[in-house]
Amino acid sequence: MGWFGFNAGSALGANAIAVTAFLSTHTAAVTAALAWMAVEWVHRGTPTVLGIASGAVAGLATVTPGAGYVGPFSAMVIGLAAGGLSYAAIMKKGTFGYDDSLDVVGIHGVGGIFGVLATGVLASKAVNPGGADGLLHGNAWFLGLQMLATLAVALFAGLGTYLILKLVNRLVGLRVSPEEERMGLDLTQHNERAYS
Amino acid sequence: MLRSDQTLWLLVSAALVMLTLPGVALFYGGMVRKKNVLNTMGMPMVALAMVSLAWLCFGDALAFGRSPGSSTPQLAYQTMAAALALALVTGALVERMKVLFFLVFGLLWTALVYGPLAHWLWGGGWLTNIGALDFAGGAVVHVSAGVTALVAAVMIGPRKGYGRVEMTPNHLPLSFCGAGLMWVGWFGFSAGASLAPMTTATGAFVAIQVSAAAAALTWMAVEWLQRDKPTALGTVSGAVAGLVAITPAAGYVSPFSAVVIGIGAGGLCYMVVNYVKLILGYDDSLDVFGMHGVGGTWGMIATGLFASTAVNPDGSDGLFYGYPYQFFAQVVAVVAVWAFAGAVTFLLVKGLTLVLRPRVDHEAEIAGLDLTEHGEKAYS
Repeated sequence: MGWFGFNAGSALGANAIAVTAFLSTHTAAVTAALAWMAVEWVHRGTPTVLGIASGAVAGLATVTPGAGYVGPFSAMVIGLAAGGLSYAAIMKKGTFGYDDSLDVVGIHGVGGIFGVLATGVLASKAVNPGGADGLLHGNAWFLGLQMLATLAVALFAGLGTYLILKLVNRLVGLRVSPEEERMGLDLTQHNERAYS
Repeated sequence: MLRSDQTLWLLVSAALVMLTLPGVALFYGGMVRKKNVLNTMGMPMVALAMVSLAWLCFGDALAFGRSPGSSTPQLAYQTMAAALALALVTGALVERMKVLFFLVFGLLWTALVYGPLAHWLWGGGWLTNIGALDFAGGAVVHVSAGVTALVAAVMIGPRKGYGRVEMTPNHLPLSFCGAGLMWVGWFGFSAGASLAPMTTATGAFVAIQVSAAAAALTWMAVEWLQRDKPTALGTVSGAVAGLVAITPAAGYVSPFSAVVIGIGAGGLCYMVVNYVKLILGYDDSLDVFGMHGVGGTWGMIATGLFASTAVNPDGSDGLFYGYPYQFFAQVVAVVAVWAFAGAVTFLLVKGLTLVLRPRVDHEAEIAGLDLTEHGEKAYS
């Protein structure tokens, strides 16, 4: 629900673009939820409810860059891919061996990158004259632009984060001590408990 | 072409109505046993997902004749109302129904029951033509969902041990959060089924609030008198009953009429949930029929009593304002919706049972659907 404000609000007015963004946001989210459910059902034998919810979030993340530029049927394609790709990314997490506790990389990183690229393919001036035509509407240059944007954002955010973490590590340190980690952060960092 | 304030209000309303779906998921999720929480909460969300795509691809075209995939705020709003109807139905069937059966049934139900009913009452169908009023879905959403729930619950059969073992709710605070979200989300229904002017939306907003409040207090009072103690769950159930009953009337009645509608809803739904259900012995797990079927039917008929052109010149006068025909039209609409939703649901469940199993097997029901249908647990 909050995401409607995010994507439809970006139109800066209650106009046709806001309606498009609203509908494509919703369509991508529900398609991704069903896609994740279907993939998990086939792959593991049962669809988890957490998976359905995760699929919806992956769809929301993925459609964010494209929402105001694509129609509902393109949003369906974006959602379908978002559900499948994020599921696959999280399944593959083990092979890379990083610990992304709640799958921010799998859902927002993978979803976001795919979403920016999919905008380069599916965007249409018929939907939003203020936008651009994508590859599918005869403008391959726009896809190139989106690739460049993805690369630039990934490099900038990656490098920036690396430097900030290095600096913060020098100043105050990044992790709690193993002792504190075992006791839990609620008690050691906040001196309170969630459950009695 | 819509004005920008109309677009704005419809989009905000669509977002609010969508909020009722997680509301329903929480409301229902808190009331089932520990072993079925995730299944119960997941089904309304699956309904939202499935119906949204169905409505975009063909439902809206069936009911309103807009081209599939058209980017209009009306389509966005109608999508959420359609999804809510199917989400409500799940409450009667939880703790025993198979996920696959629900997916197939739900898709067909949206196409064969909800779509035609939306057309009849809102899309220029025969009930629109005889002048029946349904402001925001009392018949289309609630009577249809309630009757469907009753027919399907009777056909699929009660849960194992129903009436003999105690079925304790796992976490009622979830249900209170859910009822709260439903109450807030319900203000989205003040937009009405079509483009209501802002004065009508304002009147509807007030009517929704006072009806829910009156019904909550009525349920509480009746329970207090009958059982010596008012339950907290009863009070929020009363609020939901009041929200349901005002849905068809909201844009057509004065605030005081809305209070009377709320009082009627609280009393009637209390009686059905606590007495009629026990006498008839059907297992409507979370009282979808008792709340939505009964509340919606009362609201539709009350619209025929209390509607007033002084409140909304685009509406009609009811029986109490000197126009008995409106009462008659409302009764016809309710009877038609009961018969149509009941008959088609009966045929659908009968037909689908030939090819799909509607409920999980005995062991799976004992172990719980979270584990057997989804392979996960809500609580560790």
